[in-house]
Amino acid sequence: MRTSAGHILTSHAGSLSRPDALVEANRMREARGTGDEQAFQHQLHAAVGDVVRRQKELGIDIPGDGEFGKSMGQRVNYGAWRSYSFQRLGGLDFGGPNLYDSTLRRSRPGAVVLTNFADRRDRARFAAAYADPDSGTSMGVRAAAPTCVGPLTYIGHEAIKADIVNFMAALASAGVEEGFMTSVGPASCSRIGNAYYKTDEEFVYACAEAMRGEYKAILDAGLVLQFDDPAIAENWDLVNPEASVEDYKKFTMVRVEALNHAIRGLPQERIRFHCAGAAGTARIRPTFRCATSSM
Amino acid sequence: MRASSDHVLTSHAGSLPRPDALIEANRAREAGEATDERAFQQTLRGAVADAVRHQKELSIDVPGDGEFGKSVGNRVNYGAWWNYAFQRLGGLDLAGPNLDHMTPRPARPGEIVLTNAARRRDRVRFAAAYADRESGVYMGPRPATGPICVGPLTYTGQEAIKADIANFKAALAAAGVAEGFMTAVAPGSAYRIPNTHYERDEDFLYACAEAMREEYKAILDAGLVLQLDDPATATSWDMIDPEPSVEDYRKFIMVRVEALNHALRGLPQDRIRFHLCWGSWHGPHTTDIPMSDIVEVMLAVNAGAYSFEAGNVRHEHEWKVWQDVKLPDGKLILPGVVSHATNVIEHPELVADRILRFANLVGRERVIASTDCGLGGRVHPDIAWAKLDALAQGAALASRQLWRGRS
Repeated sequence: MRTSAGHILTSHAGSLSRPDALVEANRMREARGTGDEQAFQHQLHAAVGDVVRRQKELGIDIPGDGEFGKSMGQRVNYGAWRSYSFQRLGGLDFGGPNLYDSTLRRSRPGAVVLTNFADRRDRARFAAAYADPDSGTSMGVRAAAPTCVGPLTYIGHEAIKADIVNFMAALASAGVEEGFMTSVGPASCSRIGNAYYKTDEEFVYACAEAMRGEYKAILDAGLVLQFDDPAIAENWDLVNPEASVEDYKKFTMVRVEALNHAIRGLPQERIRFHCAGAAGTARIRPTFRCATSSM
Repeated sequence: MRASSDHVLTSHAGSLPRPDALIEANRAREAGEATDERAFQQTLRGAVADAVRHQKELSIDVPGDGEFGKSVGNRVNYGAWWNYAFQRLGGLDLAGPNLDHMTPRPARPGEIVLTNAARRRDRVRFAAAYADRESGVYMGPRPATGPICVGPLTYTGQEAIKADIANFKAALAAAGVAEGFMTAVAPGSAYRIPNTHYERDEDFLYACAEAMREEYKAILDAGLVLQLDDPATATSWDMIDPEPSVEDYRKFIMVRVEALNHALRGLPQDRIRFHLCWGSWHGPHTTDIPMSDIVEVMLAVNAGAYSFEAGNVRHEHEWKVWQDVKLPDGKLILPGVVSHATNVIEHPELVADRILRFANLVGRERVIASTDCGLGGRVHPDIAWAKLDALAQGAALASRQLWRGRS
């Protein structure tokens, strides 16, 4: 991983604005499932080429692929960073409720569980603001969320291969030596329904094992891997009522350990960790010791 | 004007969220649907009392009336702070074109004129974002018509300002609050409408100053603090196309400041505060003029205190301006330490940090913690009130540090 020798290096957290044509192509592809796949891949390849060139023009030293391979069918979209994984995992069923309508779960001291997204504490406190389309808190459409109903497997080999090929070609043509690609961490990945694994912990580790295939592919290609795992911070808001910090740290360390398990033996010097907070996470400071991270 | 003698006082820039019932009452009244004026006045009076009580409960030391007497007919509203004046001035034809459609006027070196609102340079640069209903830049419904000055300007708002003052004073008394502020638009901001009556822009500007003086006087005569809202001091920069030289701009703005000072002649400076901002719309603001270029112009206003944006990502760094600029003796500042510009509620520790920076430069007694701009109409009501709560909490934290060891 490059470090700031001589000047402050610039990078960013991952997602960049998809061109309208790609948003529309994603929407069509998601809706129909089939179509001219070759034309779509062509378009995606070119869009990644453009976005890497543009980052270079702006003086961004370590560009990403803008997460363009993570399908987004609307301009306003806050979820592609994780929802893309639903297409890359086997063992899921898509007939269930979205994450806002799933079962509400209450935490107790010593027994931290995540509730549904509608029951986030900040969302409950500012319910009227979140419900007001003019308030600026609108998050666009709510994606269907899957439920795990069988053994979790990684089936995204073709997709990640295409992402890597597109990005490496774009980097080469822009003359950029180092680029990063994001991938969802197990803590964030596991926040879907689970009807198969006995415990939350088992499910988190299953996510870690499955996603390891993607982490490895990105690193094997020589790219920097960025873990997107905001759940490490913003699960705090998804625990209702508010837990003790001690309980929360215990709960979260399991997820960090699962992540560390997923990257065992992988080159730490090309792994970066992204941890975002949502509103309501104010009391949590990023004190978790992530072996992978330079937070 | 109260100063922060034993703790950091809190106030805000003026606009607060109107209750839905008042918004609907305003809408019906503006549309001519409502006829029971007495019932309307009762609704308004009750709302002002509630707003003042709510501010007191949140530990806002120097409350306002929320600008509730300045009519808004929809929740999202960025314009009431100045377009209320069109209801209080004679000589206007209110059926003119929407102000976005005023004839655009190009500026030349040494000959500065304002173009129309739609030609603002930031708006042109980010035209697609401003036009996108989902981009967050949306400014609410645009009025179908706008005012034109067609005859001698006179102040006709005597009844309206009398009611505003009576409502506010009753609310202050009921809440047991000693000092409150009321906003009024400054001539440099008010005169930016088409004019077919006065020969020169300056004549029209001074006519505005003369007319509005009556409102300023009424507010001060009532014993209230007068806040002059004059964003045009900063935002006119963006409304001059192409970008002028800073020198030309300062000259242009000084004419407006002189007109304001003319309107304020003989009035008690120690109860006048001046509000400067770069426009509260949620745009990119890339064409905002730097504070360092206009701070001296701002300080030339004969006010006892100055309110300005200092709590958003475009202007926060400008606290450093006060490393070089001397705040004249006896004057106060009201930096914005929570902002209308974001839904994220400022952490009280950040609020305290912001206050401390200013207090360390100009002295703790000379800082009143305030908001960047009005919160009403710009953020959701629940978020607006939560921001005032964060403001008060942050000021309390700062006070503990600034008055450590005393009391």
